[in-house]
This record gives sequence, structure tokens and C-alpha cells, in this order.
Amino acid sequence: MMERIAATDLATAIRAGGVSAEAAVTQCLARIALTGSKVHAFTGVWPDEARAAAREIDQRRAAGEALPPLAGVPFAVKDLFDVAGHVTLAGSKINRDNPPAAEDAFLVAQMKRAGAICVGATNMGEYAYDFVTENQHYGATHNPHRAGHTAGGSSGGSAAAVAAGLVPLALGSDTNGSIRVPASYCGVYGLRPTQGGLSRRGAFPFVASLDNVGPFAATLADLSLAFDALQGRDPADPHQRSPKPGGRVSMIRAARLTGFFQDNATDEVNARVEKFCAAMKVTATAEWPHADAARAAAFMISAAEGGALHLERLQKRAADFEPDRAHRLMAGALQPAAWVQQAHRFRARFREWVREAFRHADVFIAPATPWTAPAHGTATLKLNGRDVPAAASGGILTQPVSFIGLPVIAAPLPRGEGEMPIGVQLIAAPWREDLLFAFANQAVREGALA
Amino acid sequence: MIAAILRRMEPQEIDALVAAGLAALDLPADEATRKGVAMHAARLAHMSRLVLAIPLADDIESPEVFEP
Repeated sequence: MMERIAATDLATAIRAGGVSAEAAVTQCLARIALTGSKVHAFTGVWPDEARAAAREIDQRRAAGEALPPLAGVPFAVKDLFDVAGHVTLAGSKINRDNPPAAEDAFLVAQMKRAGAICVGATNMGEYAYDFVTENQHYGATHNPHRAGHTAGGSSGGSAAAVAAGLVPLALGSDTNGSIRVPASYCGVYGLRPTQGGLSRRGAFPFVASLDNVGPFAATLADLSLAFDALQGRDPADPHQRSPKPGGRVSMIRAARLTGFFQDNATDEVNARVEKFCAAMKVTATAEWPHADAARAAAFMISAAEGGALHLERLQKRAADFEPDRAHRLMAGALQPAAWVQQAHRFRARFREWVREAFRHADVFIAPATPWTAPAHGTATLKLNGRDVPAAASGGILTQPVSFIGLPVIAAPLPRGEGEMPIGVQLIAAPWREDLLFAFANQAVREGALA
Repeated sequence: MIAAILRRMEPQEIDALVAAGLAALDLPADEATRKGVAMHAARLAHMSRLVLAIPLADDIESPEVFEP
């Protein structure tokens, strides 16, 4: 695996003139060309546009202009974000027939405004309904840490690109765990912000009630830098909400989530989370009631809304979907309306229970995935004494959290020689990303995070 | 209720139910599709049992999404 490049270091070097943006982009493109086939993180690479954008940054610097914070830093986008002039595939065969996007997605535009340079689009699960990125139309993305193992999904290409050192930053989407699962499997940082915090405009939808977007980075500092760059009010996104800043917290109270979150992780994963808690001197534990039902409700809502979204495509072009994806979406569309409505109503109830839990802790800690990255094609894995479907269960620990729109950082735990990466979810109350970053910073300083 | 019915139903009855549902939505209903959909429908039925088992007061509304 290649050495990772930190966005913060690269941006500083470019601003200082130590390296040109064009050289940085050229090196990034060379890395992609060199390891592209091994990891298969990208579905499209755009060297000419990237070099042109880099030259523009270099000209601005030569003219004495103050450069924005990510000037010259290469980034990649999950192939569901619109990038002007390119067809947004969303991991599907069907979307190939769409015209190129007329304008950049809001987040892509924000990254470019901050000076970052888009080098290409990354592979993903078909229509983002996936935790493994074993895409039958565009090929499987491989885990950079172990060939033949999944990178996770559905933003697998973005996580793998960052983990392999191909780009320092990437964008992804997370409906049920599609940032956190690949971040965990690939050993990188990923952020799912508070629901409604970032604009979703120009990101191909999946489940309107749950869809969210966010960044991947190799370091916590880079994740913070990217999150800052992505901020911005978008009047054209009806889903976006105004932040509700919380009060000052003198000491962050953290608690480890047990019950569902412990029962649905392997012994190896639980041991590594315990080690993290010990390093952070976290002794408190907490249980969220009915987390299993929260996961189930998220599962049902996703199937229903996804099935409805794709209904016309399923009617007209079912054969152009991956077969299992089509069947899942169809089953979702067939659900009785009363089930789905109860799942939505339960969402409101679950939110109240978890709000109550936040009276006793500011940050909750839970594994991001039940296991380390499985081998491609793994059908079932043992969990809590049961055989469970490996692909669909990758998000079992992320779904109850995103179900109620909480902000989460998926952060990589330290690993010993030969160990595969595993991530921990750091979970805060809505709009308290500040607490997440403060706690994670402390963990980095303590050596409790990789 | 449907979850319980699905558990009690014979395979050919489930197949007929899925076929009828697919037809109602104007979706293809070949044998491979019916089998695949039935498998996922059974999983959703299992999930629904967990959710429907939790009593909800009448005044609990869905979280707001639409704003006029």
C-alpha cells in the first residue's frame, strides 16, 4: 500500500510554494494509474480537467492571490455526485443513458470553491443499496489492506481511494452506513454529519428520509478540514436545516454502547473497542432500548422508499439491474403501507429514547461494523450464534444511529501486525460535531485512534 | 399480521402472493424474480415483527419531512 498524503500538509506546501498544484495532481494521477487495477476504486478519472484546475491554482498563487484552504488538494467523489460534464452513474448500468450533469453537486462545488481539485469518480454499490461494492456492472472494489476482501459499501471506492493513498480526500453518501462501513473496513476516517446539515443537492438519491452525505479522510485533521469546506447554506435543498448550536461542555462524558451494539459484533471487534475505551478511560456503559427494532425500521424504510424511487426503472428495465438488487427493491415496493408508516412512527419514538440517553453522556462509542472486511462473495457469517447474510449485515451497527440522524465519526482503531482495520463510531447529539471532533482529537493524542 | 401469514403460508401460496403483488405494480413476475422477491419479502416480514411489536401511542406522528 502506498504512503498516504495528508491534505493539510499538501495544502500548506502548495500555499508556501514548496510544491505546485500541478505537480501534486500529476503525482496523484500517477498513483491512480499505478494501483488503479489492484484496488479498482475509480469508475472515471479526469486528468485533463484536473491538470487545468491545478494550473489555475498555480497561476493564482503566482499572481499573489491568497489561496483557499484546500488549494491544489486532489479529491474524488462517489459516482453519485453530479460533476458538470460527466454522467452520474450511481453504480448503475441504466444511468449510463443519462445526459452529463449540467452543474456540480453542491458539495462538489464547495470543495472546488475551497480550492480542491476533483480527479475522478469512485466506484459504489448499485444505486447505493449495498455494503460491499461488488458491483456487477463496473467490477468489485478491493480492500487496499487485503486483496480479495471487500472495501465495504456503498461508498467503497471513495474509502479505498483514501486508504490506498490515491487521494487524501473523498466524498461519499451514507443512508444506512455507506460512509461508516467502508471507513471501518478500509481503516480511514469518515463523517456522517447531522441529518440536514449538509446539502444533498446533486447527489443521486436512494432513501429521502435517511440519505446523507459526508467526507472521507486519512487523518482526523483532514476530515475536519473537509467538513469545514463543505459547510454552506443551500437554499435549493429543501432537506437542509439550520444548525442548532449546543452549549459549552467543560468535560465530555463518554459511554460505551452495550446490548445490541456489543451482541452484534465479533469477539475480536469487541476486544478492540474495549481497548479503545480503556485508553480513553471510558468506564460508563449505556444501552439504547430497542436498537434492534431501529435497525429493522431503517431496513424497512430503505426498502420501501428505494423501491418506490426505482419503480419505473424496475417496470421498464428490470433486466438492467443487478438481479438481487432488483429483487430487494421490488420486495420493498411490495411492503404493506402500514408497516412502513409504523416504522416511521417508531422513528419518532426511538428518537425520544435516545434523546433521554444523551442526558447522561455526550458521546457514545460503538463498533462501526460487526467484523473486519469479509472476503468478496462471502454469503453468511456467524454473529451472536446465528448465521446472518454477510453483505446486508455489514450495516447492522450503523443503521440504528443514522435512523435518527445523529452525527457520527467512524474512526480507525490501532491495529497490530496482520490485523485488518476496524472502526469505531463516535456518536453525538444532533449538531454536536464539535464534541465528536474534540473527543476524537483527544483519542488521537492518546494514541487510541490510528 | 402479514409476517405471521407469511410464516404460516405454503411456498406456493407465498409465490402466488408475490406474483399478485408484482402484477399489481406492473413489475416482471418470472419465476426467478418471484423467488428472489419472496426471499427478500420474508426478510422484511421478519424485520416488521420487531417494529410492530413495539406499542406506539396514538399521538406519535412520523417525523416531519415536508415543510409547506
